[in-house]
Amino acid sequence: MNEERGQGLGGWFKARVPLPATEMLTEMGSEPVPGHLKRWWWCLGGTAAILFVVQVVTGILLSFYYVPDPDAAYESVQHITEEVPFGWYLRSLHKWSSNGMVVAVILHVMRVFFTGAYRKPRELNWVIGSFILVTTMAFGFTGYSLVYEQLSYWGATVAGNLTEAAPLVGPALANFMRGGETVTANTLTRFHMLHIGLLPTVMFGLLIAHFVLIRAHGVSEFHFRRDERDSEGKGKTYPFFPDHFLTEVIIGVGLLITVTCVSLIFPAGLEEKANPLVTPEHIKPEWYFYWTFRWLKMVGLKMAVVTLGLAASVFIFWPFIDGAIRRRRPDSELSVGLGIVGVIILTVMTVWEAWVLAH
Amino acid sequence: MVDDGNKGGAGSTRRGFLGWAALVTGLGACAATGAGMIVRYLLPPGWGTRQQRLYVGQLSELPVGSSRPFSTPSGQRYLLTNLGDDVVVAFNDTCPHLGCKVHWEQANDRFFCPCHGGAFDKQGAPIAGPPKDENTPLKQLALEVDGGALYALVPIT
Repeated sequence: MNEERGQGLGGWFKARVPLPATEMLTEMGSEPVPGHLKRWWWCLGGTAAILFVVQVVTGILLSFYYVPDPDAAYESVQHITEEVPFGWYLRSLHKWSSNGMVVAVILHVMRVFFTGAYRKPRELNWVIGSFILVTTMAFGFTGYSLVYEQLSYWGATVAGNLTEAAPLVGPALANFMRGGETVTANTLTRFHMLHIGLLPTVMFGLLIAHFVLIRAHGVSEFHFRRDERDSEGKGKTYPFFPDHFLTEVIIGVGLLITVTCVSLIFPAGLEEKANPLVTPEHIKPEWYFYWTFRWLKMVGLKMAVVTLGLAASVFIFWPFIDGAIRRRRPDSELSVGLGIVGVIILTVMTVWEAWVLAH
Repeated sequence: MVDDGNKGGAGSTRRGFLGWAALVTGLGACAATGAGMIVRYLLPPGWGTRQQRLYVGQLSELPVGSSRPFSTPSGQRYLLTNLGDDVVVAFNDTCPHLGCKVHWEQANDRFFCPCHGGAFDKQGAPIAGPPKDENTPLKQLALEVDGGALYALVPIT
């Protein structure tokens, strides 16, 4: 007792939480970060993570007023947007930072892919990362459905029918997802639970695994000709704190300013309320699903679901496929060629669909 | 910027210290602004505004369909109107369009402003004229009935 008194508040705390907190912080902060992370292009994962934090904070705040009931959902969003002080701002931040997060995650995936950073021993972190991408898209889809506008309702209807077309498990999965044969009150509560309960839990788990593996492997090193090197020819590193921490702070502040500006110029609005009896003339998903929509129109429902499933599997397990190829042909740069073709196809299909929807 | 004069660790030089001080102050100001917004967002409506009961008359003295004005301590005039079925309402008698006085028309079941033909239904919602175009309802005071006496709940500022 007397001993504790002598050590003040720090001692009191240390006796109750017997962890080497200072040492742990120092250890975490002094992690060497390769010099190439001074470039913004290499901080896209952190960018996405910061936007996810914005999503969590604004999402919790929005759920204070949101009511997941078909008769009240739209009105509660309207209440948030038009009546609650700063509600429009929080909702716009939530909307635009979600779009920003999708962009950042996609760019981060591209960066990792084209630099080959997913290769041995980081294959599993690519798999985790690709599940983070899928979870991000699922967040976008379920979140948009909660607004309960016409497009929310019909978007959920189309997605349900898409799922239904999947071979074997399709119909059962679709019915489970919707909580019935069609989109009903059950669907809204399920999507709400997914959006604010299950998906965030999954996302936190995936992110922790992702970060732990990054730390365990160290950030993959790249050398640019102009980077400084030491006498042994190794790239220069710098400590996580304060150098990289400050980079992330600058990114965070920059992102908040950008998202605020976008929210001021294009505040999140509201279209017509969902009406299960009237399908709007033009239904469209969020822009990041445009390419799937285009593919669906091109090859038909069954074919689209099967090919998308195959493509997703190749994408998720690409490090292992690439590894097998490179064991036979070590100089193979197939991944770069394939990546370029993939990016071009996805971009063309997205722009094509956007063009069709606009005309 | 911060690490220019900061080779020996955080805050070890004057320049380093000033850099950190500016950073912490700036981020602190951002956080405080955000926290202020969040508090305003979370507070329930009417938080911090106090109300006072103002005696405005006996229910029995206000026949169904009739209407009579009363004034709040701050000088605003409200119309106390008995709509029947034990429903009594108190709407501000100033038209939100250009400030003329509205009155209750029992025959037409509406509040009417003679200046530009603005009309409002029993709930004070605009149904005709400029107030309908601008979607501006009449301001309302909540009422309480206590032992046959009518009280308006008047905000104290």
